[in-house]
Amino acid sequence: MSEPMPSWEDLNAYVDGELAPPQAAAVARALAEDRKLADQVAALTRLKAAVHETVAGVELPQIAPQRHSRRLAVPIAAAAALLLVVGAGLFLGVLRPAEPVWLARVLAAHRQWVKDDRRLDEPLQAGVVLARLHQLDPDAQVPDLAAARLAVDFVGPFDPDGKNQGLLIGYVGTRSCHVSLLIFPAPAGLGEEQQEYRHGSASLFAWRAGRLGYVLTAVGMDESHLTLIARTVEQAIRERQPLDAEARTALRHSRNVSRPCAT
Amino acid sequence: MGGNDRQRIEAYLGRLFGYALSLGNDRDLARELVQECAVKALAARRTPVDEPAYRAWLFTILRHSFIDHTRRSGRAAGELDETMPLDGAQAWTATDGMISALTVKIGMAKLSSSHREIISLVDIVGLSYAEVASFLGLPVGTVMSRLSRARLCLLATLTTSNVRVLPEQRRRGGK
Repeated sequence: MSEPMPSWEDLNAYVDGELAPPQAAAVARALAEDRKLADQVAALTRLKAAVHETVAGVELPQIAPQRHSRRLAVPIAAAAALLLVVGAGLFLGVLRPAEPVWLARVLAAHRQWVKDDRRLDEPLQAGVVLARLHQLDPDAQVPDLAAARLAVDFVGPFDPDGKNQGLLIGYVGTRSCHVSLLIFPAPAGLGEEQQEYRHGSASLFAWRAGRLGYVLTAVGMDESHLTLIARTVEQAIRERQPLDAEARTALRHSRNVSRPCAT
Repeated sequence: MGGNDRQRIEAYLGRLFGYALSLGNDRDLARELVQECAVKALAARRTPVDEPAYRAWLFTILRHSFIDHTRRSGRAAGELDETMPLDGAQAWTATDGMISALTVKIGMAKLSSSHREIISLVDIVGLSYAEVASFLGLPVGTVMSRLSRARLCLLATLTTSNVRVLPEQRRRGGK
């Protein structure tokens, strides 16, 4: 006689290790025979891990202020050193290469998004981001910039070459900041090394990672802060890893000492 | 009281923050609540010796702080969404790529506070169903069904309306 199919509650309890051994064994037998059930359990397991990961490495309140400064000392020094190097590079004018033609489209797309204050008609569906990214290229990545108080607020197509092959990921901050990350098939001439371009109050940082080109841009944003964000995003994308604790701390500190965005 | 109490609380800071975030869906408020909880715990004359009891005690302090905050601010607590039928569990399909910390973070923000809370208590705080039942004053069966619904709602936010809301014409049509 076949056993009854496990319910959705049973599958949840199985994943949580809450079933008694005989029940757990019955669910395990059902999973072995039903691919859909096995997929659901796999998804529940991933979901559980992802929920846990959402708070991994967050900036926690410090109970002891004296420890706070000691813990932050190294990352802050690293961030300061990075900003110093970047600042020196800017001063020397070494980060001002000739502009590629597609750059104007990047800036126009960013300005259009900000101008229209476009959002999705419905609240942002979380799956939109990865579904569209996957459609563009399985290697495409969108780093989580919560440490800089920037949240993904918009995802839309970007047309760098008339083929509409790119995506614009719009991050919105809590101080009127709008940061766009544009992802598209890397055009000829776009190198691995990150390049910075300036257009008035707009800064654009462009680089290639594999088959894809990335541009991070914002208008009226604190230059040092945006530079650090661009470097951090590039590193996260290259390493295919979420931001590590040091990068998050550096971003948080940089945001705290930067001025709000000019509107 | 002293270093030991402080170290004892610090071991729970991450989970306290995750739980506080699930209650209010606001990072600044979450930090404030964790601070308040830590201050109250450190000021307590007696603390539970047994670790599970201590953990429950800490999270109860935080929960009461949140309730006090919502009363002070006049902010309504989220409504429990009981409308999602459990047999809808067959309706969703998730690809590997759709479930990540980033998408789950976005999805969690769209849940009711009750759903966020129960997911957080199990998946972030790490309580058993029996511990959650005791903590919330609910039967274990209710915890099971509420958690199942909450996860179903979360999965629904990850998997519905993927590309439909982003037609090319909408962007190009402009305003």
